[in-house]
This record gives sequence, C-alpha cells and structure tokens, in this order.
Amino acid sequence: MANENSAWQLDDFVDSLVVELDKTRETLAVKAINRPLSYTVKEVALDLNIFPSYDGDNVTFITAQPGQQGASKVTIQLGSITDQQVRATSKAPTARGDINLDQINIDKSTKKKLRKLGVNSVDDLKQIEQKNVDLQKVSDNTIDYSALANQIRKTRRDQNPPRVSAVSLSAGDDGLPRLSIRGENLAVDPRFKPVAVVNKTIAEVTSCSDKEVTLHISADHALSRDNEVILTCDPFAVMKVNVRAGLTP
Amino acid sequence: MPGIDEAFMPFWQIVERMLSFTGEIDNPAAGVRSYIHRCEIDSPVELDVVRDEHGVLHIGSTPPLYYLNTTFLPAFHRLRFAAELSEARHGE
Repeated sequence: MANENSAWQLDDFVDSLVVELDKTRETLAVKAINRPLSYTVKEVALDLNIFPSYDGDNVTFITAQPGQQGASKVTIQLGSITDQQVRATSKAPTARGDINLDQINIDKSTKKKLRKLGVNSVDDLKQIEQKNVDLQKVSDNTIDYSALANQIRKTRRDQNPPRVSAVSLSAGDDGLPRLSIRGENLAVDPRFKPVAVVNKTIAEVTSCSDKEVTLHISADHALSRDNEVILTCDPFAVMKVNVRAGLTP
Repeated sequence: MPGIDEAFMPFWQIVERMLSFTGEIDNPAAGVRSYIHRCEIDSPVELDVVRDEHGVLHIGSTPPLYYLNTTFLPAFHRLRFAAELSEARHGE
C-alpha cells in the first residue's frame, strides 16, 4: 500500500504534472530517433478523487487512498495551446529590478491581503496605481498604503545603497572650505535634500547629486585628524564616514 | 521523508509506457500496411502523491494493482489522454 498521501495545492499539483509530462515528451523524442513512428501527447485529463480542506488561508487537497470513501472529484485537463494563447493568458515574467512581495518587510496579514487582490510584486502595485484603483478602498481600509509605499521605497533603496569612493577637502569658489563626498547612489531622491552632520554639528549641503555631495565646512566643525561625517541621503539611506585628515605630499 | 511507493512509478513513465507500441501494422502477405495515427487512452489509475524533503511534489502512479473485489477497495482515479502521430516522421 502506498505511503500517506501529502496535501497539495492545485497549482503545486499542476506544476508537478507538467514536469512529468515534459519528461514524457523528452523520452518520446529520444525514442523517435530510432523508431519510424513516434507519438506526441496532445491532451491529458486526470479525474482525481480528493478530499479538500480549508485552513482559513488556503484550500488544499489530499488524494484519496485505498479504503477511503466519499471523496470529491476534481478533473484537471491539460490541452494543447498555441504560443499566442500563452502570451494572451500568462502574466509577463518578473522583470529585472521588480521587487517581489516576499522581499518587502511588511506584516504577513498585509501580504496575504495583497496576494488575494492578485498583487505579488511592486510592478503589480504600479499597474493598479496606473488604473487609478484605490487599493485602500478595495481592501476595506485594511491595507495601510502609505506604510506599504514606504517599505517599497526602503526595499528599493536597500538594493541600491549609497557607496562612498572618495572624500576630499578643498576651497570653494568663495574661498570657504568644502568637503566633497563622491561615490554612487548618494542623493538619488529629488524630493529629499541630504542632511549632513560633521563632528556632531550640522553642515550645510551646498550641492548634491547621485555622484557627489558637497558640504560647507566652518570653524564650528572643528576639523581634526579624525572626523566623523554622518550623511543622511534620504529617509532610507544613512551612512557614517570616518574621514582621517592627512598631509598632501 | 517518504519517496514514491515502490509499487508506483513516476507519472511520466506510465504515460510513456502506455505509448510503447510500434504503431505499425504490417501484413506483407496481404500487401497491407497500416499505422495508428491517433490513440486515446482512458484508464483507471492509482496515485501516490508525496512531497520530498525539498517540498517538491512527486506524482507516483500505477495501473490498478488488484482486480479482485476486496474489502479494502483501492481509490481509482482516472487518466485520459490522446496521443497523435508526430507530424514529421524521423528522417523526413
């Protein structure tokens, strides 16, 4: 007698079934090399005797085993479809740079609600926004959209963190000292001007871009051999740089 | 974690084995040669569905193991599929 059957979800089962049928196709293709006649499987249907169960989140099925009576019947039918039909009925593969819901630090309940609305990634959310759908209303105000948007921005920022490649002190056009911080992904959010603290004193940011942030340094900053620069590029990227002053040879 | 029961075979094998016929009916004496161009199979099967340690679902299957009426009746699922002769025969 077989082992205890495992519970499965429909997509899980269909995925396994498709993998099995792919193996059949590959084997038949190999056989066709030496056989004059070869066959292709066109349509497959499986009538399954199953017991469904619902745990509050998901419906799962267990295939009936010998001796078990009263099972429900599910028919899974796999037909042949054309490339065009696949394109018309399938969701586009996840684009590079898209963020899956699993990568965002939001509570399980929000993730579950979003999935029920068919939202699995940030791109899905964007598409909903573009169609002017108010997610908050659709979800009966159970999804805090602003918190979600912030988490998405944070996740995006985490994937492109600021990187410092060089720091230098020089005199600006007005003759006042300027501290220039160069690197990658520094001031990338145009809605937010970076905030800098040098040796525990706020420093004015005179210019900023994704490659360079320049600070105005005054006597209040008390530059010494070792200096601490804290740069808040945006609400999701704060970095601390220790700048050691050295003599130019 | 249990694998597929040894009395069962992976699902792909059952389909492949059901299609293990030559497909050609040759009677040189009568001067007749026929071939099967489409075949439809509708069969009861038993299933063993197990999940491995990686969470992957495996579908084991077998034709009915017993034909006798017993007190412990197997659960018969039903497999239907159609197979058609490939469009291009080998070498053509």
